Amino acid sequence: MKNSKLHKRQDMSKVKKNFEKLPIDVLFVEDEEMMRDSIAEIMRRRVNNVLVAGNGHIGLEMYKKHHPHVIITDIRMPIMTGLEMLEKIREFDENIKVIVVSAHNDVQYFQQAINLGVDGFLLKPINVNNVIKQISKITRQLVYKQKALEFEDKIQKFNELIFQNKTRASAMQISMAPSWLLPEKKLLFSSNYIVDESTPSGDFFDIIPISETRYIAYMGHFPHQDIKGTLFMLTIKITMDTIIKNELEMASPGVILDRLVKILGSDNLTDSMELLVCLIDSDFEFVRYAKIGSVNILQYDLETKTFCDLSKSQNQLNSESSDELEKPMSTFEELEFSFDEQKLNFLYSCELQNYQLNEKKLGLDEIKQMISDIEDPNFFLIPYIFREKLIKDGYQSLTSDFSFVLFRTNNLIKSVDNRFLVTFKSVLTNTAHIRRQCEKFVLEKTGLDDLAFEVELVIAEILTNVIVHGLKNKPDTMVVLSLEITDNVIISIWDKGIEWIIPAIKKEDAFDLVANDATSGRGLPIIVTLSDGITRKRIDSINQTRIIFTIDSDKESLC
Amino acid sequence: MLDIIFNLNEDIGIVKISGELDASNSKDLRKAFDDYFLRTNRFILDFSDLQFMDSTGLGTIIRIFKVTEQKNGYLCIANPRHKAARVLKMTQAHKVINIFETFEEALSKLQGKSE
Repeated sequence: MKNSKLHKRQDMSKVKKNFEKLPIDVLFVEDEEMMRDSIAEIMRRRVNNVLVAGNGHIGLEMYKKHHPHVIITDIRMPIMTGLEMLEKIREFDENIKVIVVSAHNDVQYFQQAINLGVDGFLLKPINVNNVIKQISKITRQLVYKQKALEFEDKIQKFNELIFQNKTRASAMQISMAPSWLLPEKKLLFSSNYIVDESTPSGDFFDIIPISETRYIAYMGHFPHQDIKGTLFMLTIKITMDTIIKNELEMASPGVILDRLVKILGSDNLTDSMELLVCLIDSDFEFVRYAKIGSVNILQYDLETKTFCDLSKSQNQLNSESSDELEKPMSTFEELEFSFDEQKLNFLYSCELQNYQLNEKKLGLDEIKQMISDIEDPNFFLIPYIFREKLIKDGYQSLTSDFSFVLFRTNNLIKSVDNRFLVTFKSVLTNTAHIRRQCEKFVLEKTGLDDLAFEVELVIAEILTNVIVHGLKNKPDTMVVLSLEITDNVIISIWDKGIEWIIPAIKKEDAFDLVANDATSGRGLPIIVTLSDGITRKRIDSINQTRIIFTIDSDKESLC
Repeated sequence: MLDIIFNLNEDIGIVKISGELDASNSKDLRKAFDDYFLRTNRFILDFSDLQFMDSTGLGTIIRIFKVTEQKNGYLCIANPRHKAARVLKMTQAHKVINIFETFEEALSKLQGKSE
C-alpha cells in the first residue's frame, strides 16, 4: 500500500513537471474583451504571469509598472494602436520581446512592425498553441541569454581571481628571489634574477647555509610561466627547505633530489623541468652537484682565461674531498669540481639558450665569448653586464626568464694593493665606519690629508644624501663600494635602487648652491664642488655611480 | 657617535656638540633643541670637539638657526675645528650664520647683545 502511494506521488510530480509554467511574465494587449480574457486564461495555465490591457495606452502604463519579458499585442486598437505603443516602448527598451497579432488586412503595417524590431507575428484568429510555441521559443532565448550573462559574470570573476593569484604568484616569486648579491663569509653569490611583476617567471634560485662553511645552492627552471609554474616552484622550494633542514650537514645533492622526487612524484619533476642542486664547501673549495635536465655549469679561470664546461666533463669524485664527505647512495649521479680564488663559477639555466640573434640561438660558445669580452674587473656584476650585453647585441628572447648565477671566493671585503672594496647592506643604516675606512685608506696610500678628507665627505654625501633616496623602499639592498687609487681616486658604487639622474650642476655654480641658505640639498653640490667628475649608468637594474678625484699634490685645497 | 651637552649660563644656552654630526644622528640634535627652546632662545654651539659634519648635519644646524631667528633669539657657532671647520668653510656657512674663532669671542658678543 505504502509503495503504491509513493508511486502515485512520484507520478504526480512527473505530471506537474511536464506542465511546469514558463518562468516569464507576459503582457497581452487586446481590445476585444472576450477573446483577450479567454486566451489569457489559457495562457495562464502555461505561463508564470499574464497581464492584460485593453489598448496601447493602458499597455504602455502596464509595461512601465510591471516590466514584463514579452508583450503580445494587437495592432488596431482604440486610443493607442499596438505599434504606437511599441514605438514609445522602443525609445527606452530595445530588448523587450514583442509578438504582434494581426489580421490579413493589416499587411500595410508589417513593414513598420519589422522596423520596430518585432520578434514574431501571429495571425487572427489566434491559435493558442501557436502562442505558447512562440512564447516557449522566446523563453528559451531569454533563459539562454540569462545563462550566458551568468556565465560571462562567472568568467569575469574567474579572470579576476586568476589575476589576483597572478599578482600573488609574482609576489611569492619575488620573495623567493635572493638578493642580487649575497656575500657570505667566504663566498660571494651574484645573480641576475628578474621577476616581472605581471608575469610570473619560470626560473628560481636560492642558497641555503647548512653550516658555517657549506651551502646548498639550487637553481631551476620550470617550463610554465604561469600560476601553476610559480606554485610548483614554491612547492619545490618549501619541500627542499624541509629536506635540507632535516638533513642539515648531511644534506647531499643526490639525496635531496631523491627525496624531492619521492615526495612530489617523478612525473611532475623529471619530465618537465631543470633543477641543479649544489653542495658548495667554501672551506675545501669544492662543489658537489646533481641535477635533473640540462642546467649548465661553466668555470672561468681568471689566470689562464680559459673556460671549462663542467656539465660536459664527467669529473670523478676527487679523492681529497671524498675523504671529507662520503658519497651517499643516490639514484642521481653526483659529480664534483673544485674552485679557488682564480675561478669564476657560473650556473645558468638552459632557458638562456632561448635568446636568439637573427634566428641563431645563443649557444655555449657565444656565452663563453661574451664572458671573455667583459673586461670589467668587477666580476660580481657579470650576470648584469652579461644581460646588458645580450640586449645591446640585439639578442631577443620570448620569455622573461633569465637565470645566470655567479659564485666565487669572496674577496670583496678587503683591500688589495690600491683597491679597497666593501659590501654593505643598505645605506639606510649608519655607514660612518665606511667613510672613515675610506679616509684612512686614501691617507695611507697618498699621504694627502686634504684629499682623504674630501673623499670621506663625498662618500658620506653620496651614500646618505644621494643614493639613499633611490633605496627608500629597499632597506635590505646590498650596496657595493669600491675605492681605487691609480693616477686618480675612483669611487664606484653599485646599488639596486631606482634610477636617478645627476642634475646638471656646473662646478663654478656649485659654490653658490652650497652657500645658499636653504636647509637641505647640499649633498650633490658638495660632491660636484669637491670631485673632478661624477658619472652614472644603469646596468640592467643596477645603478653604477662613479666619482673621480684627480691626484694633484699641488692642487689648492678647497677647504 | 654624537654627544650633546647643554649648560645654561644666565640666559645663554651653551650647547657642546662632540663627535660626528651626520645623517645618522642629526635628528637627535633637532630633538634636543625642542627642550632647549623651552629654556632660552640664545645659543652658542660649541664646536671645539666636533670631529666631522656632513651636509645633513649642517642642514640641521641651519634649520635650528632659522627657528631661533623666528623666536627673535640668537645662535652662533664657536671654535670650529677639525673636519667640521673645513665643511663650514667650504660651504661658506658664515654667509648665513655667525661663526667665531673662539668661545670667548662668541660669549662676549652675546653678553654684549644682552646689555
